[in-house]
Amino acid sequence: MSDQPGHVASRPDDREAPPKMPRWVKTFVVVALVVVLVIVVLHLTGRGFRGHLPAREGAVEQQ
Amino acid sequence: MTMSSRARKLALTVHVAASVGWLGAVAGFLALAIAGLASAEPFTVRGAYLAMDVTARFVIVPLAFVALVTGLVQSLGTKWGLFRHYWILVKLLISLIATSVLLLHMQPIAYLAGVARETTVFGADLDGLRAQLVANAGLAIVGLLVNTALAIYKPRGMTPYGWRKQHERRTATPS
Repeated sequence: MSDQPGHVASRPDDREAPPKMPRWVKTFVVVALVVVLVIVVLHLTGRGFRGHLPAREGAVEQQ
Repeated sequence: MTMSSRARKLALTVHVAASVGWLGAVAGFLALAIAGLASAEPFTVRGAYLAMDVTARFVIVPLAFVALVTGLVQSLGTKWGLFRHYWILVKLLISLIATSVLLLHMQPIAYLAGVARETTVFGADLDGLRAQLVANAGLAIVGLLVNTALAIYKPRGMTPYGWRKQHERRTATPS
């Protein structure tokens, strides 16, 4: 963020209509949604933390 | 509100240091999580989970918050803005998700450290939790690397809000 805006690739153009969302942003949104979905599904199916926090005594085997 | 050059450089220095420190601390956390999951040596496993708790509590969480706050200061205190460019928006989103997931996982990390304090033997019912810490630390590193790349490459893309602001400024001060 050290560079000043307007001197890099983010420089806006003079079009009258707002620019479309860039492809890299769309790709990021799709990947992020997939990752979030996988994490939510893992948690809902009991493979997440909720299913793995037993009572302290029950979690520890005898030494 | 635009910061002075001196304040901007100070905020940028702190932001870069905290962000890179956050990435490095998570890399260390991942190494400990892998050692805790894969090592056959009981004392290594025990030490790994105790160290992960200390690292998360006193290094990763503070660095995450410093990186987040200085990032906000950097964007709001300069002409970049917070909602004008997609790369800044995506970077903010990744930082918020990573910080939220980190805070959500503090309890399980403390739980494993508590188990490690009491014994050197971990029950099989904790295998899922231990594996998930490895997976989440790996995901965090990917997200933080993406953030680093975004900060350096600053990919093209202005939001409709940013474009409108830019348009308003140009029409207000015609050259």
